[in-house]
This record gives sequence, C-alpha cells and structure tokens, in this order.
Amino acid sequence: MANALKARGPQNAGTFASWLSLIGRMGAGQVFIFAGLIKIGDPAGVAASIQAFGLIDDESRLIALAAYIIPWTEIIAGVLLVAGLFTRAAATVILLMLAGFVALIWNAMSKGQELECGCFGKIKLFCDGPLGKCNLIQDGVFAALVLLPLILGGGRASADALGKPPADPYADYGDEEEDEAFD
Amino acid sequence: MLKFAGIIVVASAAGITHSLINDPIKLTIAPMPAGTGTVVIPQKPVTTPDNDPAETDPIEPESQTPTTIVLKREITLDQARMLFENGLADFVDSRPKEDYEKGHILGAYNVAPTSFDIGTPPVIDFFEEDRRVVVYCTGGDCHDSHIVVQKMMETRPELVLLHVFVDGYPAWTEAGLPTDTGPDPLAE
Repeated sequence: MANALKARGPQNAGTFASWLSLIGRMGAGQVFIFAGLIKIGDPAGVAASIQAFGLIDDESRLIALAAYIIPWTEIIAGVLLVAGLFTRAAATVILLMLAGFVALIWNAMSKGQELECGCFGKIKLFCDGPLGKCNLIQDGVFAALVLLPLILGGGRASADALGKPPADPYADYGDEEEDEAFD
Repeated sequence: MLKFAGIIVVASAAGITHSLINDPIKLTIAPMPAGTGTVVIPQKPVTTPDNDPAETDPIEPESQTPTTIVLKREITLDQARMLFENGLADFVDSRPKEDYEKGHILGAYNVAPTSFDIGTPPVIDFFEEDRRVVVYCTGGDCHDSHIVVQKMMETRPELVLLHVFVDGYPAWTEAGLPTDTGPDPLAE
C-alpha cells in the first residue's frame, strides 16, 4: 500500500490520506521544532542530560557535539515535516531519533536510573518526574504521528506537491481514441 | 536516501558550526583538591520549624563533641544545612533575578550564569579563599549552579572551597529551612 501511495505521488494522494498526513506532519513537526528550539538555547543542559545516561565518557567531545547536533536535527527535520518538503526523509529522521530516545529511556529504566527527561529542556510538557512509562508512551504517540506522513507521503497540502499538477483523473481509463475525437 | 543523508549532513554542519561559535561546554567540574573537603562541624541540636522542641530528644553529652565530615564538590541537603546552620559557608543563588527576588536561602547572593557576560559579578571578589561557598539553583536538571561554580573557578582560581548544592532551592523550602525575599543587597 505504501509503495502504491508513494507511486501516486503527494499531488495525487486522496483527500482523507492528505488530511491524515497533515495531522501527523503538524503534530510531530511542531513538537520537534519546539523541542529543538528549547534545547538549542541551552546546549549545556542538553549535554548534562546526555551525560546523565552515563553511556558516553564524560570528557568526550561527542557529548558536546551531540548537544548541538540533536537540537538542530530536530528543528530542521521538524520544519521540513511541517512544510511537507522531503516529507518521507524528514519523517524517517524523526522516527530514527524517536527510536534512539526510546532505547535510551528503556536502558535507563532497566538500570533503575532515575533521570529527568531533557525532552523539552526544563519544561515538563507531557510527562513529569523521572524517565519512565509516560515518556515511552509519549514517544510512541509521536512515532504514530510521524508514521502517517512516512506512509502516506506529504499529501496535497505539502511543499512536495507544489508544481506537480494533479494527474488526469480519467488517465486510468486511457480512452485515447475518444480524446483524439475531441481534438 | 539522498534526501535523508542531506538532512543529517545539514543538521550536523549546523550543529558543528554552532558549537564552534559558542563557548565550549564544560561538562564536569574538577573534584575538590585533596584535603579541602574536610569540615569540622560543631555538634548542635538541629531544630526545624516542623520539629516541636518539646518532642526533640535531649542531646547526649557525648554528641556535643565536634564531628568531622568530608564534602565532595556536590553536596546534599543535609550537608548544605549543616554548613548553613553552623555559619560555615556563604550561599549563592544561581537562578534568574526574578526567581531570586521571590525567594532565596537566607543570606544568599544572586549570581546567575548570565551575570558573567558583562564581566565578573562584584560579589565574586568578596568571597574569601578560606571560606566555603555553596551554589544552588532549582535542583533536578538545573545545572546553572555547576556553570556558576565553573565560572567562579575560572575567574578566581584561588577559590577552591566551592560546592554545588544539587538538591537546590525546592528541597530547601520543602525542609522548611530559612529563606528570604527581595533584591540582592549587592545588586546595583
């Protein structure tokens, strides 16, 4: 089904599919833009959150680099998703990030670590308290939203669909002789 | 696939450029130099507003002898409380000015990380080398206290008795310990 939809292209997506994709794009895209903007103003906070997982050597420059790259990735992928530009690529980036976050949360929970979520900096948007089931559910909901544009494409209200006129709705019937008769 | 790689490359380039423009992030504060964490606490009865003095157990004569504790760079509520109640440390509130004015640990000065942007905050010059300074913020994920300690160490390397009260102001108020409101007395 995904291949069939992909083959049709965003400009030809059905109205219902376009609406579903739009909901997914706006929901997940805006959340990621917000999360990225919050984090980008506080790279030291992001670094501290990454450091708290204890998976990377404290002195490693990787933590400092990740503290800058993660928010930028969230913002860029979020903006692309909202705009519907390179929709599937942006959705894939966000989905992979969510998979990474889930793995980190799962790892922290299995070790019994009580870590604060740095998802939205100091703001507790959806979950309070230490990392736990609430954060897993939260990321699951975001993943479900991202899956919509990933499967359905950007839909009609997307930058991907710009400049691509809808295909002839009767193309499938392919009655070339009749067309010629009208010429 | 190309678009996916493009997003990753552009985001990485933006992040690396941003990291080069900004000051490097210092993740860990150097541990206390050997021997500097040792504090002699004159034993005193601990009373809090929650404790009814009539119900407090009388202090045994043996417990009146001073006790020695060794503090790490990061200290807990109990350790911060001991330093406070025995007058062994100055306190620094690293939260924003508005939060400080709404409530802070009694006697604490306000030094937010941003106050270093326009030069060394005057209060830093007043701290004595042989006196401990405890910096706090809001606990939890808050790391402003770590940043302020780091900046104080860079500004005045001779100040070594610096601590971060990791539980922060919420834990202090929850314990019913003394607080104050209003502006920093040293603020211009």
